[in-house]
Amino acid sequence: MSDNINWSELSELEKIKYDSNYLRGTLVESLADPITGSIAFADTQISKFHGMYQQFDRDLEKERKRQKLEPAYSFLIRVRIPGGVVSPSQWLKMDSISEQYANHTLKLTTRQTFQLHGVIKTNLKKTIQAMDDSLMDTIAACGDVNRNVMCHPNPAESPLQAEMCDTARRISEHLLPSTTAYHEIWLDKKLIADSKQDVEPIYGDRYLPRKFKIAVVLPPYNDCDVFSQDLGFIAIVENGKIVGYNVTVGGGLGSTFGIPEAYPRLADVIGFCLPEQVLEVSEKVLLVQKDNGNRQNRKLSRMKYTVDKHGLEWFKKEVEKYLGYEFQEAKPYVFTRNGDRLGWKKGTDSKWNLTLFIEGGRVADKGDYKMKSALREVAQTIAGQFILTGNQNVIIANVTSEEKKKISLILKENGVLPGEISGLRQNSIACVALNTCGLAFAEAERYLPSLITKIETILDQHGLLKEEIVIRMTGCPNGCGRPYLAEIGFVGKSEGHYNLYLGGNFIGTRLNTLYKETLTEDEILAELQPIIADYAANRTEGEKLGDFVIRKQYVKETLKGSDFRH
Amino acid sequence: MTIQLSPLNEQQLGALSGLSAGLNREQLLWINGYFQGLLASTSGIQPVNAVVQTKSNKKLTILYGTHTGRSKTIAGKLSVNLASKGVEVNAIALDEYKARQLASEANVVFIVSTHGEGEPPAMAEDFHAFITGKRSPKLPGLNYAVVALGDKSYKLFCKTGIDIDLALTHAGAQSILPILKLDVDFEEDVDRWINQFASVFAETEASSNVFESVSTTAKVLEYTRRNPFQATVLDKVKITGRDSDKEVYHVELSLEGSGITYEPGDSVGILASNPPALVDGILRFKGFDGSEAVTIKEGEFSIKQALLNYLEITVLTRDVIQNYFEKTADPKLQEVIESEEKLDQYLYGHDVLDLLEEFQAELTAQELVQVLRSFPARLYSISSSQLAVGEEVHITVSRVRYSRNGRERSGACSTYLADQIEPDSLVPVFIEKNPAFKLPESEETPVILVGAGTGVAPYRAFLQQREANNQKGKTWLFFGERRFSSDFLYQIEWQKLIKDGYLEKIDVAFSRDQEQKIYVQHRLIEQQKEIFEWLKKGASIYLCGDMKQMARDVQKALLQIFETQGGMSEESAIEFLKKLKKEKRFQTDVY
Repeated sequence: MSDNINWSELSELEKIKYDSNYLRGTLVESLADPITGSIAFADTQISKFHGMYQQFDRDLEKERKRQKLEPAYSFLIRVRIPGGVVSPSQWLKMDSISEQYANHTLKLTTRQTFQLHGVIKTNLKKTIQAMDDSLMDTIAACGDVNRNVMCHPNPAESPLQAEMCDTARRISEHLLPSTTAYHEIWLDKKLIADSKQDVEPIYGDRYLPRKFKIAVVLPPYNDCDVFSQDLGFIAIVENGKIVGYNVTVGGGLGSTFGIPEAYPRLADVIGFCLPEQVLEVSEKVLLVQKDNGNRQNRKLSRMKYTVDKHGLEWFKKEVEKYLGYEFQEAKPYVFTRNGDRLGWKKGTDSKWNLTLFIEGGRVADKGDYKMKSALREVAQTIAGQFILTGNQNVIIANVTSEEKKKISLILKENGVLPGEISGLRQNSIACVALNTCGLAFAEAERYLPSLITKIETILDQHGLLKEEIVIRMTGCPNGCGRPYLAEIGFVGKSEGHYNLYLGGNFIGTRLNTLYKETLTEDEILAELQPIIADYAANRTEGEKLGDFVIRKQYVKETLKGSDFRH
Repeated sequence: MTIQLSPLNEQQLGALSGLSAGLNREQLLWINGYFQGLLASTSGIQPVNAVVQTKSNKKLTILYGTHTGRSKTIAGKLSVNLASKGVEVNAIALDEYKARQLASEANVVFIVSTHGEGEPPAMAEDFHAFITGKRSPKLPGLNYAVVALGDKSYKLFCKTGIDIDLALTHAGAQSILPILKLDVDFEEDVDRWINQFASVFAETEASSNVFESVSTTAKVLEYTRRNPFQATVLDKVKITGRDSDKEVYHVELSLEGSGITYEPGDSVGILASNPPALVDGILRFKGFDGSEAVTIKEGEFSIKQALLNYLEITVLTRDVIQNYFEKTADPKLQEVIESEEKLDQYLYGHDVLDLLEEFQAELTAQELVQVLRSFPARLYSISSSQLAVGEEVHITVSRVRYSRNGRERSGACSTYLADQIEPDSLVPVFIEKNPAFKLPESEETPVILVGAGTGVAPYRAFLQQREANNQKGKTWLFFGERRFSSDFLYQIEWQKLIKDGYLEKIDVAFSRDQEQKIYVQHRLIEQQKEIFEWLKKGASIYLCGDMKQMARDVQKALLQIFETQGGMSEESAIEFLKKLKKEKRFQTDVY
């Protein structure tokens, strides 16, 4: 079987996965190598399946090279938290791990999970073991497997959130790699191995061609940007019950400058399935991609290209073939927003939920603004949950009125009581980018807040400070901050220079369009000024900025992914 | 080839056969020319350039620098095309290529991309700095072409390629084709260019004579402590990382034109000047304006000049304290002098200004200089091999700096090197031979190199030498410092030596990276079985670094290893170590 594979035709990663003995690679040897803070190249690929990315401090890259020192290597560690739900004790554990082993901050990601940054090689094992103590793991948080499964996060918006989150959790468990490599390498647990064929009943010995993303959403809230996912489930509610899900396939936002064949694509709805069919549908869609995805060129291996290559109809039929039954007709649904609604809200169970804005998803203490301390204190106080949202925010969930008062006091004492935040800032997302992400061409998280302040000045001049506008920035075109769905999107080209994309909509169902290329900050502000002025003066009742710029032909609407241009 | 009936002594013979072993024809030809040149200059005949025809135009080196892999792909295409036409093609990544080798190339194609604001890809950074920097060589014999990759949407399109093209033109190299600038979508342009290049390259003469000149210095002056060579600083860089509490500098000095030669293991003497702040402090305290004339051994100077350049003021020695006591007769100082323990304590961490302040005396400028002693040159173990760096010498300097009584104190020479010199400064230097710290005569002898801190310096020289001689393996380095992340001196060089096989094993001890302090001697004990195996196979052990702690602890560890692994008694272990010393199989350079 696999011995007949012509490796020279395939991407280098395929051989690495195959040779890794089910994700073991030479990680143990790499961890023990005392002369470098890095791990072997093949292991840098394999470690992703264990939730870890090798990175280095790019701010120090040149300096250290001059000093004849290797780059300051460290690792990003991403946790697997289906639906983003953690207990207060798990929050506290992550908080203390970040202090002890990482860079003292927590990053809340656009996939509802924690990222730690700056964990050095010799602390990796201790970090994983500490998470294990609190029943958290990092399996498949990265790599060519199903990633963290997202789910609509807010219990206040619907009593069905818990049921959906349970669905997300079951999908995640069902599609977890079966290899025991993680337990052996990080937790020193020697598990009895099955025969080799049984190791990965779903994935096989080369796993997927590329990453695979799933989200479960609850209309009218598209806060997981379901159309950006390889596979999505849109809950259909009748008489207060989830009767099933519309199934979406073929979303994905990654793209590359200079390669027009690689483009962001929004998913298509292919039908409807029953709640009890969700696991089966997830598995079969994943298998169709596993068996048909491009394994030659990783830039073209996401499922969206498989769908476009063979056509949506073919893809749907193929999934139905694997399932042995047909999808039902998709049901109608309506989305109203893809951002979070900030602030306190009472659920139907009389419990309170606070959606708290975390700028750039970075939980840190900055001077008198002590977000990290505040949330630590809250976690020590409440019995409810922390739910991470897909917009890099956190919901302090399911608390009593008495706890609500305490929380407000804690937030006040730590200088983070939600004040007036502009509608633009509330709807902002920034990826990590410099100084740790190896892909970044430009700043994002460290820069967007100050750029927003400058755009706010323009908005204020036109009385638009409260207007909700989705703004997103990434340091590269790979799309982890979902910039192509923003009303105002920025993608870094080089330090201090960004492409500006306009015309995404407020509900995450339309790709934006390149407006201007390679702009400096001054140029960005000069371009936005007249558009905002025009918008303030000439928009129709309730018209969102993303729709306005298309009506006024600032940009042409992008109708399908393959039309998208950088 | 055996050498018989030669007029050379044994050592010279050894050096000659060592040199000629493993040379290829091209290298032999070059050396032949070199000696002819030397002969001409020593025999009073007008010096001539050693002229050697070394190259055929049918060889092509392709050097690529890439971030995304596109340059490498083009390099591959070009290689395949030309190799099929019988050209001997060698495609090398720029970070794998020794830039100095460029002078001996005939034909080179550079394929290099540009990123961000006109920056070279990381793997081409060093080469770019070299070729555009002040150490770039003259390249009159080089034919070249540049393929520059870029993206027109950026402001500085193809800048790296353009920089290299300009630098090569300035160096006197001939371009085979004008620079090719490629935008993102380049497939067709590349194919067209490769065909064009192949046909132009085929038309160039198959073996046009390329001459290489070897400058021969007829007059080799003897530079000494008294008559130092003024070496130009080529580079100086702090090689400890940001979070280090040490300050270690790597300094590269030019010996160009001096004719100075040295071997790995030798030291370089530096005639530093004293910290100006300390000189000013002394002058101010004594109420001198600095212009007072004084006479010292070295001649007549102003007191300021004498203190700056000729007298030791940053440390105290017994003779100076004794001299000073005779001028003050301060009973408190007498107490210090009369107790060996107090004197030892006082000598450590005090300088001349402390002495003057704590025990007052009326002194004229002349009387003061008579109390003091001459400023000795500081010796640093050389951290380079001339086979690798040519007319340069590298040193590794740890800056001594501490604070006492609210005043910052500093080591004279390390501070001079750290604070007062910059690239292009002149530093007075001479070479101090150290025959007691040399690589074994036979390259078959395994070596175990033990060094802590800057004690690793001579091992960099040793390994550069072995790499230049293409001697692989049989080398084992033990290195110790405080922290892995910031204090792993020359880390990337060791990594490369390991990868390329010149360094067989390395063990590191970073004392502050864990609760329990781990030093090199602990690593030696951990590896004792294998160390003893190496010794049984005739290995030599080298020890370099701090005399007070490290050297003593390492010797203790070695004795322990002899006892446990060799079944020796305490006495016979000591005897064994002595025997190793006598056989030059245990060599030390401690300070």
